[in-house]
Amino acid sequence: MRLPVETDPLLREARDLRWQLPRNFNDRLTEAIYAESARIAERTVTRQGTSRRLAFQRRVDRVLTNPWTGFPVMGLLFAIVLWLTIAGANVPSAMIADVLLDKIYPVLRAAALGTLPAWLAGLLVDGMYLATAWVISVMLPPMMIFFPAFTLLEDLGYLPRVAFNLDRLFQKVGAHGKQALTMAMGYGCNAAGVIAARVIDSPRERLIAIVTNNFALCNGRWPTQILIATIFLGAMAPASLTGVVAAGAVFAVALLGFGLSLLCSWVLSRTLLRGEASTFSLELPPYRPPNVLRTLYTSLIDRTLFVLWRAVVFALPAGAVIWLVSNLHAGDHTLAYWAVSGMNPFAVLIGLNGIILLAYIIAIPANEIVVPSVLMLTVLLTGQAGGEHAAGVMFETGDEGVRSLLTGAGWTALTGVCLMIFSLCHNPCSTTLYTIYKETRSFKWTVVSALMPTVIGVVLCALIALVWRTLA
Amino acid sequence: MSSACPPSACDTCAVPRGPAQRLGLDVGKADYVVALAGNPNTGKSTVFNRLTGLRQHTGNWPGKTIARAEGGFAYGGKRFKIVDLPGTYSLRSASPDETVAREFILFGKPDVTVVVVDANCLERNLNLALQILQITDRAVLCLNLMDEARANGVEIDARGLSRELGIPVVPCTARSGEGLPQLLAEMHAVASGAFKPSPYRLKLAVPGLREALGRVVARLRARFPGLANAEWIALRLLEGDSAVGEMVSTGTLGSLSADHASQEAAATGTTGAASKEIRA
Amino acid sequence: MKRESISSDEALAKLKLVEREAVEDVLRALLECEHRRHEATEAHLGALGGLGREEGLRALGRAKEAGLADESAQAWRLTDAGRAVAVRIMRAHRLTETQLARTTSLPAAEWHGRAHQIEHVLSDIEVDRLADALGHPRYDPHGDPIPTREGDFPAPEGQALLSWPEGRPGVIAHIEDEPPALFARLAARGIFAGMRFVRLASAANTGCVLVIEARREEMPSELAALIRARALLADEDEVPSGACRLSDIARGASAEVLALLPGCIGAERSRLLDLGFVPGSRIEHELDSPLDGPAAFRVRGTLIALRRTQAEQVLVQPEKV
Repeated sequence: MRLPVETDPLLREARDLRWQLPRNFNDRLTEAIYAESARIAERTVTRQGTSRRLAFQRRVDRVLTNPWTGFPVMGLLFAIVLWLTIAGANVPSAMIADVLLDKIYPVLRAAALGTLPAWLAGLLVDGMYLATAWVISVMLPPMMIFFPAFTLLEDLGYLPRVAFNLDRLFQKVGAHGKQALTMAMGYGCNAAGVIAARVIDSPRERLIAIVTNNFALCNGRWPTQILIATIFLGAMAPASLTGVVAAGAVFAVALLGFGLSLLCSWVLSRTLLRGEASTFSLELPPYRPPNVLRTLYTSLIDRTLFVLWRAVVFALPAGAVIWLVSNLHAGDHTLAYWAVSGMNPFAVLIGLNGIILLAYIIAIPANEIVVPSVLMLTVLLTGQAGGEHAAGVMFETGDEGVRSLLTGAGWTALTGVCLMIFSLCHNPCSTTLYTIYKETRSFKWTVVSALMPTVIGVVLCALIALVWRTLA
Repeated sequence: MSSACPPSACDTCAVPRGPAQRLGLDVGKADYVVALAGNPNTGKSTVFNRLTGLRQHTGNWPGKTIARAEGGFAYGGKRFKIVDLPGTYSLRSASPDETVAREFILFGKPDVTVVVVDANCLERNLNLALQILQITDRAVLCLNLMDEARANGVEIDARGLSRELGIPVVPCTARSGEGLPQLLAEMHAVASGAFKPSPYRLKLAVPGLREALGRVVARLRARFPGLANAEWIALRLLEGDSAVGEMVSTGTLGSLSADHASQEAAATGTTGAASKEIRA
Repeated sequence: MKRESISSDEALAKLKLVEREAVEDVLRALLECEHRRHEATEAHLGALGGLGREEGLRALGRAKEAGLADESAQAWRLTDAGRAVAVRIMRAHRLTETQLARTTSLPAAEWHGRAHQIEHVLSDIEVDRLADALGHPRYDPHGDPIPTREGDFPAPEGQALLSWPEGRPGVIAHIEDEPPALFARLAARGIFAGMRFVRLASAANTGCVLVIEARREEMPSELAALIRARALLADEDEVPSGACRLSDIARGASAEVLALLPGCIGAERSRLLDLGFVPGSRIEHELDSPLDGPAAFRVRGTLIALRRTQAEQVLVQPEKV
């Protein structure tokens, strides 16, 4: 069927007139408006000589974008932020853990056991409370340091320079230089990294940044990496080198993550996202002295509390699930036993074990609880003594204790390596997935973000296990 | 356009000076709707936070405000709803940001549009300001980041600029709060109709354009007498804007051309909040 | 016009989908011949429609049966009904190409193929919506006029580049997008319709040497054959001497913008214009990024980074030091 010819004479005339305008009419119009802006500005603005401030900013820019000085400064700043985060978080983390786990927990437990049925007390206190307390004590301190530090760099105007320096690298894989920042933010928290992708105004590059953000190790996964690297890889080296080897291994995993994110960006931009609209624009704003107190305040409200709130919301039910699977019985055994023995054959194939897989499923809400879940399930299922705590309860113990517990359960260096790889490459936590859905409004891209790293992780682990076992 | 310098609002109306009462997100029914427009990274969000008492994150990083933020404050006995539009360089393209901003200023019928510009690069920022003045008469220019401009040795003749543009111009430093009381007073004066700006209209010096515009404008005037922004509407028609074309053929343009102040009808528009009832 | 289009629709509706597409293709090919005043021989038509000779002949036969085309003395021509169908297909094709060019990052060499698939399945309403969404563009990315809904459009202009006189400035009016491999080579060099050029003297039989928007291009004959050229219009200036691309400006040097070249399209074009890369703007090349990445330019008071491919799209006049 054919539409009637345009009937409105006014619109018809407007359309006919369009053919009489110059071909580059749109350009001419922008030019004309700019010319009038310039004329008005010329009459009303006076500049006094050359600005020392501007000259200073130019000198700073020269240093920060020079190949010989720009990259060292960038690396140094990033290292300082990470070091501040990891080193600075230990003390408050221990303090919060001391209060929440050692002081409040026994009181709560005693009170609950005295007033509630035992199963409900276990579910609420041993399950939900402990999981949430763990997440808060592990997650809150690093975020309280990382996000404000990062926000200060942002307000200063430094971050666009990082995008400028690294753009070439990202352009080669079909991405935007600003992805460097979403990744850096991802080292704090992937959900925050996904939100940060808003600054990328090109649709294709923004999706790439969102989908690949998970390859930036978030602070929920750093502790896992450090612990496992220390007790399995560090221990293989002479005692004096333990720390160096462990740190090197963690750094290698982080580097692998960076490489994988570039690789996935490259693949995505040539397959699923091929042809998607793509533009580049990057404004380098003047450096501005940040308002430190205000920055601390807003970054605390906007990022830290926001991310923490979501994590708590997801940790509560996860805690309940952990308690339930390890305490509910089906037949002669707990649900956890059945799940672990069901998954074990597959898990062993990829260098892990059933306990780790179950822990990862339970820990979908928050990566922080992987290690405690693994320990708890190991104690429960291998019947080893786990200190003074009851079975089915998350706990923490020293490196040596963990090492003997895990090797006692049949862990080898292979298990350690595969766990580190799998910790890097698996589905993002549910907080991040939810954020991805909210940002993309697309079920498809949420699923891609979940499946892509998981598949890569399984394949990598299987390959490593195969090679390792063949050589051994 | 009157050649006289627009008088300061405080000379012509009896609005009390003083701080605004911040209402945060609790807007409720508003007497006036304020649109906050401007280029990215001009401190628009800082102005917004200052006025509403909200704490939206404001990074030194263009494009922080993606979703449209709303907030409220009370001033001079009236409740203002303020809408922070996405930062854009222009209002002419079909990109989502620019469409949202353009259609809100047109269909959302704000009682006053505050154009936040960076005093350090006025020329670039006027590009957007001049486009906004094509669409609406009711505008106030907020000359932000004056502290930086002073440090950079930039001096701006605000009164001269006000004469050129035909709207009130207020030098501000939103971060420290400098100039905000005057901004509030001017916003109030324009929103209440106590001061009626007569903004500068672009000359649009493009070969063939004036003649084509003239013909379309004549037809528009014949159909919708009293249309304030006939030239801009004609330009959009020549550029092939189908949303504007539809308004012309269905006649809804007529209701937009009626005088703001006398109009009691609720605003209707394509953007979310604009379709809500905004007047008591 | 309206009556005829209905009858042609009916005639087409009787054909199978594949047959209809073939008929539509040869009709459009006929229209192109008509506009360029080519002799429309059968072999030529088959090639233009993207069909083999056999299939082209069969499609022409069907078109004749349906009253859409006529044959006289070995040359084919369109009936009025056939012309209506051809114009409609051409409109859908050129609008689709425009959309692909403006809203996707697909390489230029793929626009034609995709549009060729889409043109047959778009309904009239969908084509109108597309035109609406694109703001009723007048020319497609190859420089060809897009027919209006009513079927009006000017005839394409220009002559073969290979016959263009040396030393005379001109504008690339049209670039033929078939065969795609050759077109891709032109696109990869950043050569698009609408660019200004001057032909330089060159040895015989070696194609031609051009200066296209201040950049020297040596073009073998097979590439030059795809290009049609026209004279400058009254409101078009020659490229001034001394002009160059923004990407050629050394760090620390300044220049004034002369034009944003036609290879920069869609969202990217309006973004660059809005950022101040408009004729008359003074630009200073302030920073280079390490790794040979983007460069930062100060434009109207703001520092803006552009990638090299973007800076190549800005024609500037360097300032004398």
